[in-house]
Amino acid sequence: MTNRNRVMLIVWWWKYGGLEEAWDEWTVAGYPEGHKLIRMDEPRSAAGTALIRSCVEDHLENSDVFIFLHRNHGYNQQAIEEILSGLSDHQRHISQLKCFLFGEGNDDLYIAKQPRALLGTKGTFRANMHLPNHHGNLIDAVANPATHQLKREHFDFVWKVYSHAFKAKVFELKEDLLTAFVDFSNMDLIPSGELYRYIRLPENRLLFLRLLSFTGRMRKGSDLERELIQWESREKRSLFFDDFSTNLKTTYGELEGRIYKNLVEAIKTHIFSVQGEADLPSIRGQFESLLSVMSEATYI
Amino acid sequence: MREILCVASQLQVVNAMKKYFTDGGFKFCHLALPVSDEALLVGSDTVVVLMSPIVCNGKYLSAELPWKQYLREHLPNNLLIIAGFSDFQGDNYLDLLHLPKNIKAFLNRAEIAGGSWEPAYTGGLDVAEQLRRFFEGHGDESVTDELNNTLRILKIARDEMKRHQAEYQSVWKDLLLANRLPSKWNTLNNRWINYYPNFECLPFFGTFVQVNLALQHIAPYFNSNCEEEALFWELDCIEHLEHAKSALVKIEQHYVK
Repeated sequence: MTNRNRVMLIVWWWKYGGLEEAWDEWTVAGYPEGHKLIRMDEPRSAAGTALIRSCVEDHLENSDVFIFLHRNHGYNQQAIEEILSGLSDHQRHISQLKCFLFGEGNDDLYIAKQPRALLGTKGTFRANMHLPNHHGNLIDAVANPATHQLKREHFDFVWKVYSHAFKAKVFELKEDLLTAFVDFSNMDLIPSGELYRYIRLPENRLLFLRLLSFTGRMRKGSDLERELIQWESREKRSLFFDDFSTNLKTTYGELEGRIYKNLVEAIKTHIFSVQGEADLPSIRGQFESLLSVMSEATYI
Repeated sequence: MREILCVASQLQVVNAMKKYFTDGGFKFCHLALPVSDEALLVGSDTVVVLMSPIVCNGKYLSAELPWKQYLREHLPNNLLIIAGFSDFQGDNYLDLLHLPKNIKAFLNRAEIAGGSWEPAYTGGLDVAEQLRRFFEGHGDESVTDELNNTLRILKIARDEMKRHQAEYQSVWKDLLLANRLPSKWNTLNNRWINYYPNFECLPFFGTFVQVNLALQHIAPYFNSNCEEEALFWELDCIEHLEHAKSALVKIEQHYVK
C-alpha cells in the first residue's frame, strides 16, 4: 500500500439512510482521517457531474480516488466520460483514479453479495444476512455511527476488490474465451466463420454478450444490454465492460488504450468476422499484452 | 497403461484433455473439486495434470505451488504437469493452444514433482499467497491468529472453573464478555468463510474439511453468546478447537512456505 490516502466517492440512495446534505464524509477506524468514504445521492445532471468532479479534484493531490456511480441514478458510460474528461490530463494520471458503474445488487460493493462489503439495505451500511456459524445476523460496516466511522476491514475489502476489478475482469474474459474455444485450439486451420458460428450457439450466449460489451458493440438501451443486465442479476456478478473501456481511454495511459484497441480489432477480425482464418494464439497474445501493461495486480 | 489424473473443473477443458490423452494411449481420470484425500492414492507412474488457473468457488485460482509442495512430499517421483492457456514454455507446462504432437516425448522430458523446478505463476488468485495470509500470525486476515485468541480465552475460562471453582456466570461476564469472545468468534468465522471455499482445489483440502466440521460442531455455543454453560462442556469446545489447531499446524509446517 502506498502512503497516499484512499478515498471512495459513492453515489447511491444515501438519502434513505439519513444523508441530509449534498454529501458527507466517513472516516475509517484505525486509519488517518484522509482515508474516507464520501456519500453522495445526486442523480445524473450537469450539476451532479460538476459536484462529483469538484469533490474528486479536492482529493486527487494526496489521494487515490475510486468513484462509484449508481446506474439507477442515471449514470452510464457517457457520464463517466463527462466526469473524467473534465479533469486535466495531469489529474487523470496523477494517481490511481478509477470510475465504476454499479447497481442491481450484483456488485462487490453490496453486503448482500460480499459480507465484508459496504452497502447494506435502504441507503445504509448494514444488512441482515444469514451466515453459517455466525453469532447474530446483522452485518454492519459502521464502527462508530456517532463519529461517522467505518470498520477498517469493510473499507479495505472493497478497496482491494476494486483495485484490480478491471484487470480481473479482462483476465477472466480471456480465460473464459479460450476455454470455450478449446476444441478449436489445436486445429492447424480454423475455417472462416467457424468461431463466430460457435460463439452464437445458445450455450455461449453470455460469452457473446460480454464480448459485445468488451468491444463496445452494445448500444445503450438495446435489447442486448437488457439481456446482459438479466445475466448479471442471475450470475450475481458484474459483467459489463462499459466503465472499463472509458477508464482505459481516460485514466490509463496511451499505450494501454492502443493495445486495447488492437485487441478489440483482433476479436472483430478473428471471432466476429465470417471471413478469413481465425487465429486463437494471436487473440491470446493481444489479451496478454493488455494484461501486462495494466499496472495493477490481477488479484490481491 | 499409464494413467493421467486430471485436476480441472472446466468441463470443456476436461473433455478436450480426455480426448487428447486417450488418443495418445493413456488412461484418463478426472479429479473434480472439491479434492478428496482418497483421490490421490495413486501409483507412482500416474501423471497429475493440474489445470491452472482452475475455476474454484467461482474464481480463477492458481494452485500450482501448493500442489508442487504436496506432491514433492507425498508423490515425489510422479510427474506434475501444469496445463493452461498461458503463453509459457517449460518442460512441465502444457500449453492448451499448442498441445505437443508427441505427448509421450513431452512427458519423457518433464521433471518429477520432487525435482527443484518452480512452476510458473499462471495469473489467477494465488492460493499459495492465500494460505500465507490464512496462517500469518497477527495479520488482519489471519485465521489462525483469531483461532489461537479464542482458544486461549476458553482455556483460561476452563481453568478458572476447574481449578478455582469459579461460577460460570462470573466467568462469562468477567472473562468471556469482557474479552468480547462472541465478537472474536464472528471474526474467526467470517475469515474462515472467506478462505475455506478457495481451498477446495488443494490436495490437502480433506484436512480443512475436518477443521470445518470442528468449527460447525462448536458454533452453537458461540451462537448462544457463550452464555450456555452446558454447551461449553457438552460440545467439548476446547478439544475441538485444539484439534482444529493441530490440523492447521500440520498444514502450515508441511505445505506453507
